Amino acid sequence: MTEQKTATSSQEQNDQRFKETRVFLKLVVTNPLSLIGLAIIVVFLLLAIFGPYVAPYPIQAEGAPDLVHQLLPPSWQFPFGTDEFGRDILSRVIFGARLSLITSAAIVGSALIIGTPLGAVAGYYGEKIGSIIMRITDMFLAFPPLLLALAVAATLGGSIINAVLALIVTWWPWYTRLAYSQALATRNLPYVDAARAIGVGDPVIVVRHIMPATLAPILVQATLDLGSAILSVAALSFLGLGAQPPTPDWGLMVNTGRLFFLQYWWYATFPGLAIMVLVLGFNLFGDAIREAIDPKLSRRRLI
Amino acid sequence: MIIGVLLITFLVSHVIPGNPAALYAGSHPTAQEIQTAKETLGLNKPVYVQFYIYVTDLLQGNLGVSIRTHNPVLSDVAVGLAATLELITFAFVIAVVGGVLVGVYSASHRDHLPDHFGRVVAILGVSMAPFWLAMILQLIFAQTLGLFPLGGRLSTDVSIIYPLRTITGFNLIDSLLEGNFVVFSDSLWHLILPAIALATYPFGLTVRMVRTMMIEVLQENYTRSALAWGLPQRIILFKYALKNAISSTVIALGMSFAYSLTGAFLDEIIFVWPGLGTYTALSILALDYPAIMGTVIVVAAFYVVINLLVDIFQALMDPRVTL
Repeated sequence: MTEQKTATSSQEQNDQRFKETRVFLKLVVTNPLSLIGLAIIVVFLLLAIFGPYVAPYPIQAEGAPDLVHQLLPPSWQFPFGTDEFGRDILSRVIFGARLSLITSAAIVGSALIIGTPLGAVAGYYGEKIGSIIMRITDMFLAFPPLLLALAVAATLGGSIINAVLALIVTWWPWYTRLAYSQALATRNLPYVDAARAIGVGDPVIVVRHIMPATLAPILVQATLDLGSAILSVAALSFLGLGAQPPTPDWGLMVNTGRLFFLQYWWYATFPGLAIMVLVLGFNLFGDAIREAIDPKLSRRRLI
Repeated sequence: MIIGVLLITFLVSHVIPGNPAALYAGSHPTAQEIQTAKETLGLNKPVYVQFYIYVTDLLQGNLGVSIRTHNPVLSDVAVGLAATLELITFAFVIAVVGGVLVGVYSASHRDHLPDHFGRVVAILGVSMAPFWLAMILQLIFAQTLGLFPLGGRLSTDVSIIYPLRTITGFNLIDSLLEGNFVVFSDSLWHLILPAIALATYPFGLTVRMVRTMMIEVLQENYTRSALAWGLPQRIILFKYALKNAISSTVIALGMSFAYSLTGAFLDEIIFVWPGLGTYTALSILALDYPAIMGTVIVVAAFYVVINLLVDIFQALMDPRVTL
């Protein structure tokens, strides 16, 4: 009798969960902006994977000069024009997609892996451990964005790896804070109390019950952050603290293009445009998920 | 918080294996030279002694000497700070006034044409690399259309014919105080383009946050009551709804300011604005280590103070928030 009852209730629960997932998917899919965002992300992913096969001049993209075709305006042969070494800018922009996606994923991924457990632990244990972790986090958050990364990258010396490291160092506290507030909200919920009551150890509770609860808002944040990470890497590259020539990095291309910009507008315009479109993709998609998850933004309006 | 900032900048400048001693000793140093440099910089002492020296130096306003300009970093920074603040303040006003208005308007016309327009502008604003936008604006409005100067803070001829005495370091304020309207209009003319480029990102942020918060507030029961009472929409929006959305608006303002602060670094380089950003960029190129760290400390300290002000302001405006 009791067993049967438990079975039905878990069945109901599953139905409920299924319904939620479906509503969520529907919201994401019916919002046309989110589809545009997703399409942009997919296109850039494909370009990143198949870049060497798609790009018209793959050898030039990696740095080989072609001194006959220096600084040519966009044409059928070179749709985005050529740079000061005669390299096809379109090919270099395509190759840049891979670098941008890998670096931003590395930054956000590492920051998430470092930040989330720290925040979950701080929120669950509270007291001493919590306040120590959060004090340290606050220290990092006391810097305006990018400024600390700039200092770290300048100390380490300019290279794309160092730029990524510098951004990880400055990015994790945001996830710690987010996970912390989520963990605070979950730690006294009945199911966590129940787990504690039947003698589950604290570390297991943190991993199995607290961290999954922090996941949804953190993943939304991560999607949006992929876009900001691309902008941040570009900014560091622009300052000479990121990728070094002849890497086909968008920020670096805008930076070198700056020297020629007022006569040869196409040089810096197209890499910058690529940054904008990809970041736009992440923002559109991230916004749509956030709106789908947040019940307060439901489509009900008065004015 | 300030202590935390000091601790981190100290760790970055003294503990990270970037080897500042080698940088300080010049190019291709010998082992002996590096050792001497280490002793001059105090890097051979225990870490806690180094931290003590570092903090006491800072408290005396000693940020070290710039390797590139050979001036004390503090005086270099002080010169650049005024120019940067002038740019940031102007951009901040554009971002906040524009952002709040568009955000409120967008929320009140949710899912209609003005809202779509506002959202697209906002999302484009936060998707562009600010330095790239600065270059595009420069190309279109300065180079091609000739409406604005390409860069700088004052035209050379104006600054020679109408010399400006530095009172506050803000050209706009100084020229007004002196009644020097030629300089005033010339400064303004130079300021508009970089300020717009700098304002775009925080503008987008503000629109997004204000819009989201307003949509929540507009669904509350008291909004419905106000509507039922027949109050005009303008009063509902700005007197009731925005007041309740003030918390997130103030947070948006704080974030806008933070982004302007670092965004200015890149913006200045494009428009040759003689502020901290240009100074830092040159310092990075010259591996001018004390200058970079000095700028970072000053800007971070500034940011901490602004954050404190934001918190206080928020508590004053919104009785639900306690400090």
